[in-house]
Amino acid sequence: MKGMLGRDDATATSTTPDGSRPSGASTRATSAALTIGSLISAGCFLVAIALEVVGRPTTAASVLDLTAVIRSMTVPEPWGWATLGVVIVIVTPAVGLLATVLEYRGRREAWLALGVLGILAVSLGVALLR
Amino acid sequence: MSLVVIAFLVSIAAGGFGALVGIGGGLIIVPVLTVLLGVPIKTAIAASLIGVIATSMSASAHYLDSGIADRRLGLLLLLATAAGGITGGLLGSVIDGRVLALLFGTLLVFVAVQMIRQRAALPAPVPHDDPEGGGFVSSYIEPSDGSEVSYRARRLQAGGAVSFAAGNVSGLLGVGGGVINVPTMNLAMGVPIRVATTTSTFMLGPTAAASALLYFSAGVLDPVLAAPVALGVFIGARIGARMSSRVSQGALRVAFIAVALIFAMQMFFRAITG
Repeated sequence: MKGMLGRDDATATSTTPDGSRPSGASTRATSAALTIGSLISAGCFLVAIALEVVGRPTTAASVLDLTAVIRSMTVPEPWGWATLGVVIVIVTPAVGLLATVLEYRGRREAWLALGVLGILAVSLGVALLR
Repeated sequence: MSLVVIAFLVSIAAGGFGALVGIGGGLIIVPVLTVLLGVPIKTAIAASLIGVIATSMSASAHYLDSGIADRRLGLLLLLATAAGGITGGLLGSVIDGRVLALLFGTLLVFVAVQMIRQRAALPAPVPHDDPEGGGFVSSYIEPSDGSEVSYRARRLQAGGAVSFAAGNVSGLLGVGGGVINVPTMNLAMGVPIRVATTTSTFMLGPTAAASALLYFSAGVLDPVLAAPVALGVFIGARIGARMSSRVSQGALRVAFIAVALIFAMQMFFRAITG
């Protein structure tokens, strides 16, 4: 890990005096991605709970069956909306990491974020192969 | 009242209580769903992971904007926790539910004992200006007084190893992993507690996402249950965070220790009887 951070890491200060950490880099895209993901997924969950409360039936199908998810949402059923919310929740951290890669282009943070994205890709690969 | 509505209400309470005590909702919601509502433990763990990601996403956006979370340190340790999240998720989706109950009970006892020890003796302050410590230097603006606090994150390799273990625990048991990450960053790596907690929160989302994918593909993640759990824990955590300054932390800790030990016994009982 020392190698990844490099020799100059021992003296580098990654926070600017105004409190924003990356010198020159913005965190706006990452936090916007996370906030938007939070809001959309919360909206989907709210719809799912509301449909459950009013007694709409739930017919679960495979989450990989996109047409089943869309059909369930349009009926509308709690399962489709809950599934969409769950997918958004799982995908959002990866979108946040992608935003970090763009914000930190050419810096170590971008490579670290790419590494984490690679690990998430491995997880997705394992999940799809099972 | 349907299970979804009950799960939503108890998740608000669990998220609020978790935030008040400072341990996150997962440690409470999994035993609540399993012991009180009769949800299979793997389904409860998977639902809890979705709650962990949702809470982390929302809080991280704020912590990144405020500049308190150390993104470089978080990304570095994330390489280890996310990898641990995969192995934990793989293990959790194939391991017997009774073993998971046993492990969860053990984790509850561990956290309760840690809290008892914290009450007995607060940790000594960690020197952040050791020039021989290695690692890298960083700083943040302390929100309470506006001063700039410098620190050196040290022992990166040891921190990475412990982070891998924390990712395993998170993926295996559906908890955030902060119970391991925060003391490691603070006590072993010399990172100020405020940076350690916020950086840990930033790390939880991708870590839990790596595990949740595996529970999803194993067919144990029930979206209709995960929806009220995630939304409930998220809302509860926000309420708890607002209330935390108005409630006696000592009394809360005692309450958590008692609740954790009761749930631990019930988890052990479940592990024995199936």
